[in-house]
Amino acid sequence: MEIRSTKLSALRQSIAALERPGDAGEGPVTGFGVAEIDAALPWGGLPHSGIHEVLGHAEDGARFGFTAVLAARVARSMGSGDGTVLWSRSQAVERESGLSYGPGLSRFGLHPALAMFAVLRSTRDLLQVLEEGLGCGAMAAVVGEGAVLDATAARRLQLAAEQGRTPALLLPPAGANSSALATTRWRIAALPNGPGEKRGGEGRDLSSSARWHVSLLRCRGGAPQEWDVEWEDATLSLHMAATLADGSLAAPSRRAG
Amino acid sequence: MPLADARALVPQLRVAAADPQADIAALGALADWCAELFTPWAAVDAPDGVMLDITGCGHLFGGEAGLVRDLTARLARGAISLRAAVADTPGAAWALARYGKGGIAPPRQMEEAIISLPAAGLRLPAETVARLDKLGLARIGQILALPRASLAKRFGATLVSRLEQALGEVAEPIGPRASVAPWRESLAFAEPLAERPALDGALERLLDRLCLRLVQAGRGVRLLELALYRVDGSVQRLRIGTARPICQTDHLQRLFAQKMDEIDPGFGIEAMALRAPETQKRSPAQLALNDRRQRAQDDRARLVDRLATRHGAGALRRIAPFESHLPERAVALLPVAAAPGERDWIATQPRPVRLLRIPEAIDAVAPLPESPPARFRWRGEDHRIHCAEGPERIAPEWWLEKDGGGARDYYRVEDTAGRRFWVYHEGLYGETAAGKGGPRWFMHGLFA
Repeated sequence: MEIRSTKLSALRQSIAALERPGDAGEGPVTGFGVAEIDAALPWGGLPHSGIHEVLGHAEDGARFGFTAVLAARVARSMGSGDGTVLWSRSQAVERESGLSYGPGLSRFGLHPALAMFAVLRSTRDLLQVLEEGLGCGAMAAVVGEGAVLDATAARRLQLAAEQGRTPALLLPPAGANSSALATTRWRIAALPNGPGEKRGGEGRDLSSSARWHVSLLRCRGGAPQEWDVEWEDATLSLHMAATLADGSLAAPSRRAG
Repeated sequence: MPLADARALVPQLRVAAADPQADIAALGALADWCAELFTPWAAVDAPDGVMLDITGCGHLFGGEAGLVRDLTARLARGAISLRAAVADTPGAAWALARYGKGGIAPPRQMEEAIISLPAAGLRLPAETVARLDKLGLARIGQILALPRASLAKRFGATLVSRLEQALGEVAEPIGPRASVAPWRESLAFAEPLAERPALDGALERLLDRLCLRLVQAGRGVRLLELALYRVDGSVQRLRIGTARPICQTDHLQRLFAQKMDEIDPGFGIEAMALRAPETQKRSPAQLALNDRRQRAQDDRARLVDRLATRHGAGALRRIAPFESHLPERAVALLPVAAAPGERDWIATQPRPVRLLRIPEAIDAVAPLPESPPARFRWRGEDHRIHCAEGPERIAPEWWLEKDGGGARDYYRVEDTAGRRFWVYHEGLYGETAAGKGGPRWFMHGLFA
């Protein structure tokens, strides 16, 4: 019995070591500024050295907003003028989903001075840029849109992110296999403004703040969770979605991860 | 003619002050250009000429006539008119270009070539020409007929030496321009190199030499060109650019390393030359290396260089606000090397995070004129709208485009799943009656 329990604890330790290789946990971390989300992450925020996948519907702007929020928070945490986000994508993605539009991104804190955009000819070029951008440590964060990672590519990006202590924020195309190496994986969906269906023209006005249903699908060393959050333009901050104008709480929506 | 008179005759006359220094500088540039293309022996002949020693160069252009044709044609393209003369001696060519018809004087017959030209063609001081003129010696031929000794006695030694120079009795070399040592280094190998490590080593030596000189001059390269000369006589060239002036061997070597794969050494490379067509003074800030922020910027600039070298400078950009109401024109694309601006967009109305490059037509149903759509179909998916905001009317910039379409009424709409879109209709409802087909709906962007 004694031997079994020591063996068991040894196994647990080695699994924990596999699950949470120290490198992802150590190093800088940027919090979301939302106590509930930060508490759910074992690092108390988003660890910089790691791959973070953000999934979502291809024709939904929500995950671009969420990614912009994350990237801008990381960039701003580097101190004034030091953080720059490299937002990279392939030409095919740009044709499909449109230009990264500055006036919109800037509402989520991604000031034009904070961002640099790369548009590459092919997915291969995109992976090269991601690896180079992550590995050199000169960028605050590197966003990669439409990158399909095989196991090798994922491992290379993971190593580069650890070496440069730069978070990789990946937005894989819809239906792509997500990599098992991701430190965290999120799914972001738009949250309807209110319950019930009203006809256009007569319906309530659209609130100007964005509201998202955020699902943490995977988190190394943590458990999946979901939240409804709201973005406030004025203060550039994220907080839990408040009660709606009619007094009811947003209906808890459950989506399959 | 006084300026006032000239203006009275031609009122729209463009007037510029004479700038002799700038003229000389421009002539210098022209001489350098000639030195690059035609002959290394090119000199400025102030105040209005360039002197080229084309001895032995003519055959490269199909003879002297070919060279003159080529030169004239090239300069004509640059809107520079000229009169070119070719002669055995600089003196004769000078006289022919200024007082003759130009062209090519037959060799070994300088006397015949200049005999009928005015005395001023001998490059004499103005007072000598005036005195010659007073004595009725207006043509070079008349001067030539007189005994040299008496000419020297009456008009000074200059006249005689000019005569002898023009006739080729005394040699008159052309001094080439003292050019600035160019930012160029080259290496020739005893044995042709074909292996990548050997080539890398040679490149490193070239870069070391160039960078050493650059550091001493306080400069850095912005553009660098490497030429590899193959044994079979062909040349392969690699080019890199940098976002800021660089004089560090390792960084430049890394930039080249990305491109060295393109090199096919064939049977071997026998020489390599490195040339920096564009260099720039390094700012004092760049020289201070202990600053953390400066270092971060340097790291970033290096990353940008590497990415731009591999993927092309156009693949990377920054964005900045541009003052336009049209959403597709409100973003200016800047090269990454540009200093990031501090300006932000002035948020008046919410704007999408994604803007489609070309607005996509959608099938939309609006219950009433001038109201947002109740439902629409986009990319094969139906969307029922439950909230909307608008319209925001954005008129085309009529002062820029002749027919840039009509005004657009934009709506922010949210479908039942909570996804938000930016749609607009173009054209007015009143036009339906007029048979113009009424408004058409378009999808233009996605909100977060």
